[in-house]
Amino acid sequence: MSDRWQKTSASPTVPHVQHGGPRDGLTAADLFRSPDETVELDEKLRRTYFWLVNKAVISPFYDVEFDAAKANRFPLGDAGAEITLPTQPAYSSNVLLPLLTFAVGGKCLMIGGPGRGKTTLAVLMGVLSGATPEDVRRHLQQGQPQLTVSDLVGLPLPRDLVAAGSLAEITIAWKSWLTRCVKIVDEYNRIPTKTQSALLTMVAEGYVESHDQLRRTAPEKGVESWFFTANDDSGGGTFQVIQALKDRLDVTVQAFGFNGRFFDELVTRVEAGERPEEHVPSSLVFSPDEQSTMLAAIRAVPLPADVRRKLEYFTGQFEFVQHGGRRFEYRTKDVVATAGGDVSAVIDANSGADLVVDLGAQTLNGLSVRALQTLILYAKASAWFRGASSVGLDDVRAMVPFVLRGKLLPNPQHPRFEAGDKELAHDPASWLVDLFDTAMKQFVALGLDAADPVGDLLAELGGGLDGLDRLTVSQRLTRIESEVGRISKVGKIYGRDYDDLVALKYLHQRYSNYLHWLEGS
Amino acid sequence: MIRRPGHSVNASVAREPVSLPAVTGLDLDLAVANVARWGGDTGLFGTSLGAGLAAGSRVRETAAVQDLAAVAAWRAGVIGLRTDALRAASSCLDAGLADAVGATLGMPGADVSGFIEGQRTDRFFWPAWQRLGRAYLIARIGGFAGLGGPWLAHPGDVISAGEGRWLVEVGEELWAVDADLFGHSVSLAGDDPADTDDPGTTGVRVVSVPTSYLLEVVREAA
Repeated sequence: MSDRWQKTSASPTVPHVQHGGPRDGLTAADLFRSPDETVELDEKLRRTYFWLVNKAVISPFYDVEFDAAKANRFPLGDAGAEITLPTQPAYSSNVLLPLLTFAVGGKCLMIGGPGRGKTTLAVLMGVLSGATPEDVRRHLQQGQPQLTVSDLVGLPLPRDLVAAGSLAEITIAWKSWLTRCVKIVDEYNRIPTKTQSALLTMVAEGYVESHDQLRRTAPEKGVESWFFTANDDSGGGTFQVIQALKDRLDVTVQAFGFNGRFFDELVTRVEAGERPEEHVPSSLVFSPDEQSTMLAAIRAVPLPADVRRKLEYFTGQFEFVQHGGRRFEYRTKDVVATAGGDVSAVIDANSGADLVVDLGAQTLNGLSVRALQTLILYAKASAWFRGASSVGLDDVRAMVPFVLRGKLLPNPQHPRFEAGDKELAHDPASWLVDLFDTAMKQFVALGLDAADPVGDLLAELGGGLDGLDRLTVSQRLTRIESEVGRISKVGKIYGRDYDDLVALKYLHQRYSNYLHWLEGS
Repeated sequence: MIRRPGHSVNASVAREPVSLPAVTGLDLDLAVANVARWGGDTGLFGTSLGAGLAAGSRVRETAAVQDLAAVAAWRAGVIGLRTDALRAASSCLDAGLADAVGATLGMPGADVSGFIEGQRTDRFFWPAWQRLGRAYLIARIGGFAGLGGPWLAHPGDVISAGEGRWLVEVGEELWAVDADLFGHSVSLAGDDPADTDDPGTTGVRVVSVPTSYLLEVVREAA
């Protein structure tokens, strides 16, 4: 085995600003352990990232940045391009996102033209889970137009098909890939629609069914993650990917091309005939227990209230559309879309609100709960990966373009995609970051970081109703009505108001129901 | 004179090069490297452990040497070992190794039991300071980055954040300082430093001095 593959980053890859060692938790046994033995899992994941990006796939594209405000910016050319030189560590999305997917047990779609390292990265994830490169390749599902459900999940034993008196007596020879930790489906947009549906059941429900038999796809130990590749994300390919399957994919990441300045490594590989997945250092392989521990640690990273509030504000922009229905609660894009209406036209019919200010007008839909949960989990993973003690707004911002791509759909009729910003129409990642940044500027401009009356009212209710007297409840009802009245007087309604008004009505109901109960008892 | 961070308990402790004996199953060189990694004083670690091993001729069992090494590393400033070192010291006492633990800590073996008791209620307890009857300096912590310290600005306001823990404003950053009799740890505080209502360690204050990058941990007069 060549030594050049075995070198991993020296610890710590993210310098902990600490003088004097840990404040507690060391034991006598730790004194006699080498630093390599005591490496923390987040440090191990960072080492893995740096090995992947520097040794395995050669991806010098550092597009995930965390200090946008402080970065040096240089304008390039005459078409508005600029390059930023961040002062904080930046990361390559096409390596970071698959690695975080491996860590959280998610589902990652890697898109891009042929020969951009998509399949190699997916195979590397399989090797990181402890499988041999041969096993990973053997279990890789290659999408092709003739792929049947049986090809994917396994076959009923022929002798049982003849002899069985009922479906329950048929034994299915399940494919062994079904219970692997890392599952790879290459070129999933070449799989026929019926087979895609079987795949959807696996991805969405965690089981597969054949001849009335059922098999769970979760591995016995470790964490299950999925990697899909496709060379098209806009409905192309041999078969259109069913929307329900696309919705189940947690993140979508673009694979980058090869940078010609790194040709020397390419020449070395050709000369040595080496493949990176055959040289993964054993110190970077995650045991099943480590995978489970890593996921638990990521889930435990706290999301501070101020970050959550800004995330609420951002995600609250998109569901509402002024002319979506008659009742206030029904004025949503989903009501229009499910009735077969043209959401773009309904948005355009809203002459009362400023289309530029109304961020919701830029999208054709709102966000699903699944997408929001995914955003929270990946933001936690980003914070944990970077060694932070809690999720920062920059973690959320960094994950937005990958989690919401394909889930928050742009409204092509909106002025944002015209004039000088036409490139945003085919660069969803940049558009989503732009949308997030604009929302955060609005949040500050509206003074919402200083005062949150609806949040205060919700927090008050969170304290419980037990013991509240009629006077207090009446006072709170008056404050709720006053807040509704304040929004009503503005004359224009935006997505952000929709969520607040629905919440205020909820509060009003809770208190008025309680008041009825008090009066009756 | 440039003042350096340090703990008063070490003011008169000699650090002599010691050749540590080979112990089956334990890599003492690795322990020395770890003490350095965790900000401890390797010279003091060697001196303390060497004294302990010399005083306790029966200390040759792997577990006993490991416990004594933990006490020596704590004595050398590795604050992260504090809890386990107190456990290890008690374990050594139970095994009849009071003289060895005493030599490691730098006190007579007969005083060790009282020291452990005192440390359980007061992390800055040191027998020799019990009856001083005046305020005294326990430690200096921090320092200018250019001289090997953690900070680029003068430490500002200090608030107590629990037993042996303080939060200090340094420029625009919030830092956490953890300290006990022998060592300290300084790190950037998280975004949500909890427990700021804790009264902290009774009778001990951490003060910032406008003319210094060092914080002073001071025991107030009784």
